[in-house]
Amino acid sequence: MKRSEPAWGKYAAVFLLSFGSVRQRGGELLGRLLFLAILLFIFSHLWQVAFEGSAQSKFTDKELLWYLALTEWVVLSLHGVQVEMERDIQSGQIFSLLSKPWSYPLSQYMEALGHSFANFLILGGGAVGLAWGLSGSFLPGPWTFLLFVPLLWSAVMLGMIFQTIMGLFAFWMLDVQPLAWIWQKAIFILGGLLLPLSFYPDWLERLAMFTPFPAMLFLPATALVEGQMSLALEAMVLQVGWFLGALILVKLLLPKLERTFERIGG
Amino acid sequence: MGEVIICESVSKIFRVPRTPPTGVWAGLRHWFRPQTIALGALDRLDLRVQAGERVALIGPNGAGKSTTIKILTGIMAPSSGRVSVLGRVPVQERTRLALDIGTVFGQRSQLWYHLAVRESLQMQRHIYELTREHYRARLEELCRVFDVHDLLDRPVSQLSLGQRMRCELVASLLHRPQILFLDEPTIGLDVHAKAAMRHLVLEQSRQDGMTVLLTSHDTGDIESLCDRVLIIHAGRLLIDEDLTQLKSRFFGKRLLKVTSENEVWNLEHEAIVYLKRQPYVAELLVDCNRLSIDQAIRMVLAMGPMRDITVSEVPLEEIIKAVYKEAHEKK
Amino acid sequence: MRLWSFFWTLIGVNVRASLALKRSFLLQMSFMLANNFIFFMFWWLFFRKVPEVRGWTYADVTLLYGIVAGAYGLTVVLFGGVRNLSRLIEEGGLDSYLTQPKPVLLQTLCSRSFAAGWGDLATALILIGASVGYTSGRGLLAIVLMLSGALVLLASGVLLSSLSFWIPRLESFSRQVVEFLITFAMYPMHIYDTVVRGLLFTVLPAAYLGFLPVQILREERLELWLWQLGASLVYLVLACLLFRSGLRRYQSGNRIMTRV
Repeated sequence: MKRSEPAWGKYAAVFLLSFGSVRQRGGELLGRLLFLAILLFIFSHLWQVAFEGSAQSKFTDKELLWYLALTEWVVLSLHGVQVEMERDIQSGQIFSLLSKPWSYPLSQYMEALGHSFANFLILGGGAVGLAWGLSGSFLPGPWTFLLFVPLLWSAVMLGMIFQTIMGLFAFWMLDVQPLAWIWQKAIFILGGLLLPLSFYPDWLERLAMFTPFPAMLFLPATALVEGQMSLALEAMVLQVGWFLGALILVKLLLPKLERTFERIGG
Repeated sequence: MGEVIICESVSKIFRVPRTPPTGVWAGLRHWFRPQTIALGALDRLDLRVQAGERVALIGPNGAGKSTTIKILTGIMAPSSGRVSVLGRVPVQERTRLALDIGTVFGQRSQLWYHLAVRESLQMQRHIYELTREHYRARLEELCRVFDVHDLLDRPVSQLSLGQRMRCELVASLLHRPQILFLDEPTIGLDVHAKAAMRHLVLEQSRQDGMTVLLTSHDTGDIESLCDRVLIIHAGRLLIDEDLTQLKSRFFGKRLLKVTSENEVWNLEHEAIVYLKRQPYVAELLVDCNRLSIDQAIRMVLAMGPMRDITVSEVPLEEIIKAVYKEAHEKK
Repeated sequence: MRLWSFFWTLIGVNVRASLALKRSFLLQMSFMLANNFIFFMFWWLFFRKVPEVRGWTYADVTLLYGIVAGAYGLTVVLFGGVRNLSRLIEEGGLDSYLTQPKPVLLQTLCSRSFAAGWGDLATALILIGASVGYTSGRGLLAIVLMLSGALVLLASGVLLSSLSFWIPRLESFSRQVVEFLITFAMYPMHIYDTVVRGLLFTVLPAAYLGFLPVQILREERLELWLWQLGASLVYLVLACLLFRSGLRRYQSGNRIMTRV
């Protein structure tokens, strides 16, 4: 059979396939949007009231609201690939996927990225619209916004690599829910989901910087809200570093994990 | 083209962890250092398949059929021995090999469940790196042969099992694989759908010289599709014969199914093997080369009043049963 | 009286069943406990920078969180069946309960017990102890209010699930609305204007899960007590009535088949 399609075509195809299937996840997306709306509504009031009396340090209440909108934008865009991989491995569907001429982790990553990108676009509209409406102002300058928003998407891409790695652990653990749970809590606290890391005690902030989470949430969101180029650059460098680290991790882990999987056999 | 599948002395041993013990301390210890039991799945298996052959791999559950297929497709590495498929070592060149082989797993689908069939097939095109022209031509051809034109735009979730299996076949044949692995392909299908599937695979194989490796519990699949039968039992290759040869070995044999009014069967003869021996009911395999059938029937009637006797040629199923029994007795 | 003892038997059976798998039970409970405390870290970090929120202090928010966690824990431990009531209705799973001589609602609600709920209960006891303490008896009052909050949560769950008797494919929607209810309940409500607060006391009764109980313990006004207890009763009765009405419809066979 004559083949002249580039090998990467299959990964692009699976990305586009899942991106295009967004209509079938309408209910799920609506749920995420509603949750975002409720959370931002609650916090818009909370931040307004919190700084009524005291004049406070770095962030105004509007900035904090925008900050939350941006961090939630990233987190809510993440697609639960590890759940699907876990299901494939537990059900045996994995064998059908492994018999195809592609890299299983890469195919899962690209497929999940397609879903995440659709989430990112839709939730982005929601997050920006809600933050604007609730705070009354479009905080980041339009140029800042356009320039720095890709950092949020790259944060999603980074998050998805880690979730794919989590899914690979299902080869060994079969049930990766505990890992996913730890991941969620870690992002929440160490990434500064609700509160910027500058609110944290120094030791905690320093601890967090040893993890990829500030590069995913705190740094890009703050860069966008404050228009700080230095933070954006820091975020970018850290994201790239962690991305490479994750790739190395996959290369090292994959053969070991596939070998432990053989226990499940026929 | 010669041999497309070569297995030399292939063994596979699984190290399975023991069931976790109760108690917190023991449980923790087990989590960090699990004790394992060795389960031998394949024991020095030797297998050779020529290009264009259609081979059936049969055996009872747990015999090692699925393990063999996984090793041949590169999903699993053997513990020892040499494996070569289309000149490549499967586990080392899985992706490269996958471009030349096709798989149909009866119980696992390779189509995307919520999408239209057409979209799944488009994905297959990309995965197997086919050019648009070749894809279109091949799709046209396969749609005609498998009669799936009307199904292309329907979501896979809405298809009946028979329709879905036809689409699975189209998906697995798009890239003209040199070897097609079929694992329980007709499971759950009605008689008509089974016949259609067998016929279509046979035709494709004859036309393109495609090698077929089939595992199935359905002897109808084997008889329609395969020329050669490999029987695996407890990880060893028991029988490797042409189907016609296997059946002719049993040509001289007849199957007597008897229902008696006596509980006990006290008929013993060197030419008679009991395939089933229960109170009141038995199945006797008679070697008519050594004991004529009328003598055998007379001996049975001499035992006492009979409710029912059926005399028949030995069906493939019984042949396989007999082979297993022989293997058991040799142990 | 027989109904009452039946109720206790049902609960006993399910609770014991979830406790039987000791390892899984401990795992679930500890995970939920850790989960709640990690989430609670947010308030700790918040109050380091913000001294008070319109009169509410760190202690008040701790109490709020504890009571809401307790209400949720109680509901899923005793009446865990509420979580898949909607699906049961949609898939015709009530049939087996209808053939038995005991109330359907009670049976379905008490059919499951979630081990993780014990983690929420533990959280509640710890946080109530940390905020109001148990020596003055206020802790006990907090637990009583927690019970009434649980009833409101349960009633809301039943009300939403009962809509499945009339409207198909509502399962994920009802689940999400309950999550929204709890999300709102976890934050103090005096930060909103009267309209929103009004909604949270009526249509989406999140106020009774924690906010009103905390206000009761802060202000100690009798009318607030009556309001809280009265509301729990009203919602409970409404839930039972709606379920009963839906059940009659179910029995008449006019159920909408969503899954063939």
